Amino acid sequence: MREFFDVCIIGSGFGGSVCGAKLSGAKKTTLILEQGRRWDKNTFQQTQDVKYLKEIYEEFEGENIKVSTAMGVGGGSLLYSASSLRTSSLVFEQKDKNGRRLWPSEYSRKVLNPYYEKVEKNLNVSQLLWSEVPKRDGIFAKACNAAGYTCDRLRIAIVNCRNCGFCHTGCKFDRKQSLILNYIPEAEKNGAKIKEECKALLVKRNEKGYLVAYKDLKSGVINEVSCKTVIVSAGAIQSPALMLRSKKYLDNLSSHVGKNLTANGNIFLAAHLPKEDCEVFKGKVQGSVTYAFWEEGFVLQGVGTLPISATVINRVRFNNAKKPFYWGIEMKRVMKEYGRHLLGIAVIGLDGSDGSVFLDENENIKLIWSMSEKSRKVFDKAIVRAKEIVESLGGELLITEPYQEKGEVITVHPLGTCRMAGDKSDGVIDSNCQVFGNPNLYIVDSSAVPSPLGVNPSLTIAAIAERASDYIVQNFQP
Amino acid sequence: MQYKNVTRRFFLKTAGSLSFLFSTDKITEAAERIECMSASSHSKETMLAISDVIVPGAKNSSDKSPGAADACSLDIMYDPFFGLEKYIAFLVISIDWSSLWRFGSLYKNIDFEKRTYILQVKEENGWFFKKGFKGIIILAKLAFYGGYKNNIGMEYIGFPGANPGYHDFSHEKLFAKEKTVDGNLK
Repeated sequence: MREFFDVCIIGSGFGGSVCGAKLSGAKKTTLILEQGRRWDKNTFQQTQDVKYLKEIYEEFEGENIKVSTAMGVGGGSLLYSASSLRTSSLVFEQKDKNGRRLWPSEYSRKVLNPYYEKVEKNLNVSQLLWSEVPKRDGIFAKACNAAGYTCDRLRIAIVNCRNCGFCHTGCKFDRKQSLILNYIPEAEKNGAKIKEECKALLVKRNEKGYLVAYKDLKSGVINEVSCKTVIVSAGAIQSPALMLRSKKYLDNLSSHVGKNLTANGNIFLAAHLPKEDCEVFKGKVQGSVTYAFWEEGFVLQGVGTLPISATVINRVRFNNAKKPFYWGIEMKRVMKEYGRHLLGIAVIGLDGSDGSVFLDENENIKLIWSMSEKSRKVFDKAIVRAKEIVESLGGELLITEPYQEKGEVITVHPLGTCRMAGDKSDGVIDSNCQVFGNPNLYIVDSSAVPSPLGVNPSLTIAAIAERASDYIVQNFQP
Repeated sequence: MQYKNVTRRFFLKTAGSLSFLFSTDKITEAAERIECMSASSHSKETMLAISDVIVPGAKNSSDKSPGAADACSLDIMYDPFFGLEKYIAFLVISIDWSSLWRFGSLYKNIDFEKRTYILQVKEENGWFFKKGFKGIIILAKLAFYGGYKNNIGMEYIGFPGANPGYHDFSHEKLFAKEKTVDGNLK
């Protein structure tokens, strides 16, 4: 059975939802396909139950890289920390190793500012007061101060937070401004149709526009949608995979598809602060950030994590320990301190975009990360600075071992695998997110971002989507 | 035989208290006590011995606190969802062989230090069983710290689990000078 829509959007995260609301608002018949199911405050769970987490998280484990993303209507917004920061103007000026600007010349912070404002308004973003900063992140600020560095309150998309500490499993109180509270209801109010649990398989170009083949994951039936415009918004791992699967049905797809994967400079550290009362599990999962090292290419943020991620995923060691440990008596001794004296530190920085996404012969998604000198420098500096901060309060830094051992990164901010560029030799899409050589096929999501951002990326992805939507509406061909 | 002179009042009071105690005990049991799988075979005894090394229980912890076994680590290892079950027989043979070769005794019969040593060897140089032993380690930790079946481990680390929120979540102080005007870099 074939259906007809003006626009088919694949994915419902910060790219797809924004485009969905805007295009349906401009009276375009809009279909949003989403691989995951619908979630809301009644179905989110405050739990560490792996069966639940496996349903709402999508994990990719590659060579030296682990990527964690969300799955469901609302995409990453379901599980994000809600930290909503504008990207520094310096980021838009970044150059590659050949001296060419990574971002198209049309982009700058000034150009994006009006779009940032729109998104901030829709997501109710505001800067926290110190009385709203969780104890954990207050202690992180105290440590920065003791080491002689500044620390800022974060800007957050949460209204009247209940401080339950479960942002990463979905907000049961509708306080965190996930897309299911704003852009998605707006899209549906405008008439957009959302098909959840439907996975896009292929995008084919034809004489009328595009055909999108998708599988209804509940029934197993494969359907097709015919549309004028396709917007791929499936995220930095799934979008390039879809484009690679569709390569033979599209015109001259850039060789950059899947390349330039950046981890947004993510590695995770932890601090053991025996003299401080951190109350790790209370409050928003993020509350403060130090920009003191921005000139060195990274920021550090205090972060709260569920025990499951700290104990099961991460292999840590005390900075001075000879051997790593992640089980046994030593681990248990450290874990006893968890609730009160351990705090997570997230590094977000400007890495060298050292990863790539590709398909194997069976079309399974594969990821690889080869740590460059540039990335290593940023991460190593970040560890030195974090150590300095933690030790200023008599604490000890714990380092995630996979990074130390083999240069492995764990990221929740994958970006850049279908990056925008001035021309096809440098990227996959143009500055309006249109795929080079394939009119009316757009990629609007984290994969479009051409460089690491050095801060949490959700606001920037949404701002780019606001801008791209304006272009798509204005240039829509009936 | 001498019997205590039991008054009617004493009898009713005592019987009432006892039945109350038994009933609350049962309620408490029903609400909190979750039976873990018992170690009823050599494989299960061995898996339990391994998990006790990963998160040591009262016998091997200086603070006498519970460990993975108390958090039903056997149940998680045999839970088909995690996919370890079908490899357990091979993993047990493998660790028993290592233990016999190095210490002349089955893994479950050697002492805690030796068990720790053997598990380290299997985890680091376990040939094609390496992944299986890593899986056991993750699952034992998940049982305890992740609260797979009960809250013993979560209580140990101070994790409150599901909650309606907190009022006392902030120190409510300005802790550091800030670099930006509004929280955004320029």
